[in-house]
Amino acid sequence: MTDDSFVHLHVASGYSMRYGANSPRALVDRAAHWGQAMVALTDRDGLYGAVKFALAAREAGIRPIFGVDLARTAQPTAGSTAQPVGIRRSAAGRTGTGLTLADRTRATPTRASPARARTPARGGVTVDPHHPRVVLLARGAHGWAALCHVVSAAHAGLQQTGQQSGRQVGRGTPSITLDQIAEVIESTASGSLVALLGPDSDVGRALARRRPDLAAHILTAYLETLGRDNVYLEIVSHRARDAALAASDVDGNPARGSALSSAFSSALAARMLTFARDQRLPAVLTNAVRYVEPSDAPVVDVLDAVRRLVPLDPRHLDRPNAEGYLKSGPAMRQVAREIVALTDSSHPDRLVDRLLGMTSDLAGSVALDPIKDLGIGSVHVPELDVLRETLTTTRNGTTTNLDPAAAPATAAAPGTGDTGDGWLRGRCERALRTTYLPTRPKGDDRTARERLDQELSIISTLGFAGYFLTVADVVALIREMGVRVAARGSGAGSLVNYLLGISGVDPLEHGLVMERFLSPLRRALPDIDLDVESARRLEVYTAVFERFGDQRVTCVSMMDTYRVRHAIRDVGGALGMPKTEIDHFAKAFPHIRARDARNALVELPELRDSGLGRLAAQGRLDNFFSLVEALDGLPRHVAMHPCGLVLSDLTLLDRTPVEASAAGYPMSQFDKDDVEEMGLLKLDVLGIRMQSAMAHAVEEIARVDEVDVVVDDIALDDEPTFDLIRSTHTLGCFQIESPGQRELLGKFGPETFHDLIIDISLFRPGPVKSDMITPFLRSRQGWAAPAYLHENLRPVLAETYGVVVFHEQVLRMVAVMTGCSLAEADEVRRNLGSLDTQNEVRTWFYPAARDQGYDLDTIEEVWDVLRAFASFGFCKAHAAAFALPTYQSAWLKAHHPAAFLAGVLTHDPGMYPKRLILDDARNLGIAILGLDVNTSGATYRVERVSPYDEPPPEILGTPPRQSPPTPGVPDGRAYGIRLSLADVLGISEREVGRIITGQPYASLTDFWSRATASRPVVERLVLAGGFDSIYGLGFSVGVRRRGQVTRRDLLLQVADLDRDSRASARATPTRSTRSTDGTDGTETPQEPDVQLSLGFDPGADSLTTSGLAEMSAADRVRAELEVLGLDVSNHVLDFYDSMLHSLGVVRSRDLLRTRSNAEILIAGVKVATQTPPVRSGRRVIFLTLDDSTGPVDATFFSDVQGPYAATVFGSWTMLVRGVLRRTGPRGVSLRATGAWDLGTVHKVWREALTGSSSAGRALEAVRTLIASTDIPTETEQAQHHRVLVHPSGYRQSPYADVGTPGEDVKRPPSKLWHASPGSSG
Amino acid sequence: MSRSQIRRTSATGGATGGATDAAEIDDSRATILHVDMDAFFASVELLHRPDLRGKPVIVGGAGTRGVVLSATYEARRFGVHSAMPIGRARRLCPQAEVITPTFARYATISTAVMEIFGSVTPYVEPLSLDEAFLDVSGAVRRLGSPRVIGQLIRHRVQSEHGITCSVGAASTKFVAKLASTQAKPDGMLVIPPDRVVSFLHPLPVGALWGVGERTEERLRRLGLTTVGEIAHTPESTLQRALGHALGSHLSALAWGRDARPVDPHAPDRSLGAEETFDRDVDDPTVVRRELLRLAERVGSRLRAHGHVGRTVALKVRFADFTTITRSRTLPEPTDVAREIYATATDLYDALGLQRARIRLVGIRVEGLLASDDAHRQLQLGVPEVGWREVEQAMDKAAARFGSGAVTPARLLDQNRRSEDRGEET
Repeated sequence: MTDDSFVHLHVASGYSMRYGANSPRALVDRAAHWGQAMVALTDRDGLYGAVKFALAAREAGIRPIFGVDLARTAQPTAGSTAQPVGIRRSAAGRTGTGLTLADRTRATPTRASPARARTPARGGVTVDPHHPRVVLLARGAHGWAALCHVVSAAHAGLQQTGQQSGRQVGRGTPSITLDQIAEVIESTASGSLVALLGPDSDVGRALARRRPDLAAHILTAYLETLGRDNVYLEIVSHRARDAALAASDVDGNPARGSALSSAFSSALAARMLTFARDQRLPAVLTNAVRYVEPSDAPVVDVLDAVRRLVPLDPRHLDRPNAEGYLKSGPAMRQVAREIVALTDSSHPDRLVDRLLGMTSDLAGSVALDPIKDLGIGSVHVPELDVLRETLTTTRNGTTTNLDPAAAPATAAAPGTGDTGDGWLRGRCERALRTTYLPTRPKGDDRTARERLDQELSIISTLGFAGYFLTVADVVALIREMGVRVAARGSGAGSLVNYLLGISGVDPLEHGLVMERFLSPLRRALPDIDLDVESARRLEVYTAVFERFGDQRVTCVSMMDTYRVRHAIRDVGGALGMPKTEIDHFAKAFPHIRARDARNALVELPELRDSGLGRLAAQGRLDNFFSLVEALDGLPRHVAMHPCGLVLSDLTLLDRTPVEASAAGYPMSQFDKDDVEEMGLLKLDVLGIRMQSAMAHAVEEIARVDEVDVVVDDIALDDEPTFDLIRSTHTLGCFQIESPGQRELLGKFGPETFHDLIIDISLFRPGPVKSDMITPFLRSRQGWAAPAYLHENLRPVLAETYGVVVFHEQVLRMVAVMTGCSLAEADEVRRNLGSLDTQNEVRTWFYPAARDQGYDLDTIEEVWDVLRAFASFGFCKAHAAAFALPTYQSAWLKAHHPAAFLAGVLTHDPGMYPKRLILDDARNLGIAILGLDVNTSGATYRVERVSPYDEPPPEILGTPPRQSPPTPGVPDGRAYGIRLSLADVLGISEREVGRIITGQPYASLTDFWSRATASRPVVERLVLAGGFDSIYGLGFSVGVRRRGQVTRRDLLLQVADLDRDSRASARATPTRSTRSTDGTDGTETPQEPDVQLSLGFDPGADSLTTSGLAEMSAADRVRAELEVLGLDVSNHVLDFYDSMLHSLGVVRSRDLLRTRSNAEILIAGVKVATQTPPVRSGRRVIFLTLDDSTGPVDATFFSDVQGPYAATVFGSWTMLVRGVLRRTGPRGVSLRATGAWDLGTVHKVWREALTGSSSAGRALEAVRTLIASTDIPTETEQAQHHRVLVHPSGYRQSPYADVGTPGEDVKRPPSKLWHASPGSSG
Repeated sequence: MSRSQIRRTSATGGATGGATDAAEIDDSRATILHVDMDAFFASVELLHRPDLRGKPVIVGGAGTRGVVLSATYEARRFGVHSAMPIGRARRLCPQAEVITPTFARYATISTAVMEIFGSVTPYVEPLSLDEAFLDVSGAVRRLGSPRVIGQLIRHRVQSEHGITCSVGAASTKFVAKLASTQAKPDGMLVIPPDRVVSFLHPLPVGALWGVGERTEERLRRLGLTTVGEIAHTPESTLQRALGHALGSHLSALAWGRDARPVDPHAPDRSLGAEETFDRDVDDPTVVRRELLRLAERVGSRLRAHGHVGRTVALKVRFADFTTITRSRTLPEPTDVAREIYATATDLYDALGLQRARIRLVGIRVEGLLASDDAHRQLQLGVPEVGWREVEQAMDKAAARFGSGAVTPARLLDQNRRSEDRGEET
């Protein structure tokens, strides 16, 4: 050992949640920089960063040491013994709409009331108890498994604690007992774990209190558990001031941060060293590292405060100074000298050497080999035995005749030790013979058989048969449950997947290739994603867990890292900023990286010109934003990945630590990338809301029209469907509802399913940026002849008129030009993606193409296309898989618009707020039926209506429903959509369930006594018109009987009822009362309150008239927006009608009739803002407004963003000025030249009108307002802006493709009435 | 400086800003005046910083902490208002000059201004440093109509102190206060009894005394957004919606009925002190130390006024501006800081706070009696000469050597400012 060498055995990275300040890679790189041969990663509570650490160590040429820093508790945590993870899945798994509400109500676990300590009056309970901690290092062949098990055990039994708190601070503090450690060691091997007992351990704390006797006593227990050779004392000095740990007892209660920080003193370190000598125990020196450099230390202060949810205050900080960084060898030797100098050692130098020697000896014995010891890179899939079990069980209710299990398993059943190849072949061939070939033209036999043979041989070479069998098994399982499932991704290119029933797209028919999915040249496990109904996703998970067992299955986690908004919130909280200010700061930013915060303040006009930007420019916020930026990318919260499932054999829990997710599922501490590195089979089961929406539509069609629609059997050439798609009235449809897509559809005019595949592939960032769309459309519309580069490429490119759109075309082009195999061509395609490898490809490509006899010009031209295309194209197999639900959703909309939109409204699959979908329904002639406590359900429901069901227009106040103006758009006038109770603000699932169970209700009193909803919910139901039908409160205008009750009378009655209930509750104190705070406080569904019913006759309420006026139309809309987030009875814009008319504002439906290049005004409610990437590398804002006749889209280029971006992001209703351009038969685009808040404009209008009562004056006032904010010339262009440059040479704004600033547009702003017309303010 | 100040309605008959239409209005019965200094703290500061005249100026706690105590009208134009966190104010108006308050100056001018009021009528009821009710009915014969008196006061304040005030005159306190709010800045509004209804009814309901944000929202749902709508709603309906007491209270106010007289000697029913921390505090040690300081202050002031009280109330305002109060009634009335402190800490401990961040704490002693009237029982086992006598000795020392001459040891070595900021009686 050289003098310089040192090994850090106690190192925390950012994966110690809200504790460590740096990435594992940064730590490894620093260790490598110091020339240290090994380094440990001992994160707190988990191995979240272990795989990334291993990879970084491999790259840096350093041997990794794996460990964990755990809290130790004396008592075993509840429910931690039998199961590896205390899983409570049964209840949480069933939350889909598949079950009745009554089921769900029952399935919800009754809230346990643990005997907790008293709840504080305000501010929440203390988090992060200062338990003593122990560092455990993995040693030897079984070390990794032991480490995984010990971490899993520490997390077991925790999930009950955090769930109800609602805060995502973690699900309690994981902790370990010595018994648990003993169990783990017993189940693996003795000596597989080594414990380091440092100053923060119970031993260290006893010594800090100068109680060596107590320390020795505690130590005995460790020695008994781990064995004498496996316990080390950990000597740490951060050169802290020596202060007695008076405030903290051994268990750390009540613990104080400042007390802890003084534990890192040299004096204590010396005492611990002496104690080790006395006990004849080995000691090692560490630096309890939390950051790479001293300058990172302020970051851990913020993390300490954030972790504990307390203000940044010396009392709450763990560090005494900035010494806890990753020091060099000589620096550590110096620390050792200082410690030893404080002991009574007669040979201090020798003691220093011994301490460092022991440290390096231990390091050498615990360093692991990631490949050998962790099993990184080896593949594990469920044992064939498990799959065979399924095979022999008869399966009923399979929905596809492709299901291989439908045929009896005979000859192909595998023997033990089999790779599964024969079995897989048998299943595929059987499917080919019995179901595939009979439906195909004769000539295809050979092609199909050859293709199958080729695929099977690749699978066999790679040893992946088990993988395919497993996935097929899962798909069959999902189908059996009656859940809609579709495969997506490149897997659709494989015939094996099609034959096994995994994918629904025939690869031969659509010219899809296997190599894009699975290549003999790559050993990585292929990726198959399954789309299932979102509402039933967890049900599917539960079934998979039950099928394969907890030992073989786990969910994948997802590390939520700090981006700017969270960083602002946490730093602001730590600094004690007022909540409203924090909120304002956070929402002012788009969803960018935290480290770009200050750049954004300078670059984005809406920030730069705000008060925030000006304060920042004055340098007042430097400290704040430097902390915000320091948090960038640090893990802040671990959550269940929305779709990843790991399926493995019985060794799974030896290879990954598992904790319980918030929903109670076991979840690996590894993310999806780690899981792949570890060679675990990951299956993505995505919950797709559109699948749920379609399932709901099908149910509604069956219920209302008694027609059974089998979506998967619909022919792909339905003309009305394509009529609808071409009309661009595609709101709600999968993948084709965005403004850009609708514009493209208008220009493209798809006629076949294949067109739809191309359409989806064209509308990707790549093709848009490289402007492939224009040449494609020109050729498609016959304005230009397609160009094919070379005659040999014609067959490859003919389907897309010579334009490269698909990955598959790239593969074939490379193959045609160079004569290589498709597998090799796929490697080429991958290498085109980065600048480094691109040149390598080039040096290979030119001669290879030359050898095939192509001339240099052609090669040059083809190369340019390939290079430009780079990674931008789209996998056709993926697009084909995507196009299926797109087509299916469009079919449903064309044929069953009401049912389809009811599905969309229920499951909210799209990008737009529900109110726009509602508006779309209105425009199709569908009646929107208001909330009604007697007919509304938990979902949006379809009802048949006829024109006679509505009062005549003079009473309704609005014109009767019209059929849609555009040909090809379905007419929905025979149907209505009934609003759902689930959208009522603050309503609980149980309340919805009780309301539905109790239907129908005779009166408000009846409802109050039987539905037992909370008072705020009942009030909201009243305000939104839920009781209108009971009391005949149809409409806001028209003749009313004198003394007729109003919604407001009902509101008063709710107050009376509430008072009476309270009075009777006081009289009979055992009865639980309902809560008033909006939460569902009742424990169990109550029996009708007899006492109350006696007092009130449910049929005839004691309604005394109150003299209150009925709600005006504006009041109603406001109430609807507040309660439901939807404007139901009128469109918000209706209230501005007269002004908009005077201003000559153009409505969406009239845009197509407007002259090109005209400057016009549009107005509407914001439904979407996007900042997509564009060619120039600047930020472009796409704004979509809804003006009650359809959506209107406007584009703000960077030159107009200066004065208007703040309005676009900050306002909800807007007036926009722009220049119209026609782009195709049904396409228009609007280049915006200004935007104003509609409320503000209207206020000016109204004031001018009341002042002068002349419409001309009012108009003038508005025009003056509009003219007063004009675009500053040139200054904006002169502003510096950053551009990200992609390897292929494309430029992108750093603000492209990120969530935009401001509130989520899916909900109307909460304080609406301040901005809406007719308000009092 | 209340929230309602910000509301201004143009439909009030144009009586603002001087005596232009004085002749037409019979103001003889509008004898209650509400006088309110305009942006008082800020105006006083401008006297010392004339260079800042015409610019946005904010008076408030230094740094990023604290709240706006006062802001000039130039700053208010940007949305700044009092009681707003200073950080927010800085963001809304980055160009504003922020001045740390100098309470001694305000107190001096306040005293002088109150003396002007006193020269007009003995019936002066001060509400705070910068506002007071005056009943001028006895001064009419001597000085002229309420309008003339109002102008006189405005003129004297302006000419003697260089700051402006606004005056509202009416026959009730409630209307007078609303009138001065409407008249701001630097104006006067007289509402004679026959104009009360037409003045009140167009106002938003928030103008009514006792209507906070929650009540306003409740009323809005019932379609009641103006005072006039409240007035024309049956009282029983208001009571159903808001409860019995508040319902009738609002009904009365909406018709301008307010029977409270101007009471120059309103007996202190309670006495308290409170303190906003320089930064939000979650350290119980710091909070208890502050409670001790407040208890000492309240105790010594009780003794100075010759009062004792039976109920001790603790007020805690959290970082999010929510406030809770807890109180406990003692078996015996007290003026002993030790007892007040012990009760306040008990109340504080009972909150069981763990992570809550506290912005302000306050102690108030309620149910005051003159200490001579209070009958103090001797208790067994309690020395007859106890803390009360110790504290009386401390009072004497303070009287002789200045305040703080004798302090509990725990409060030593804290170089904190000693102004009575945020204090009220």
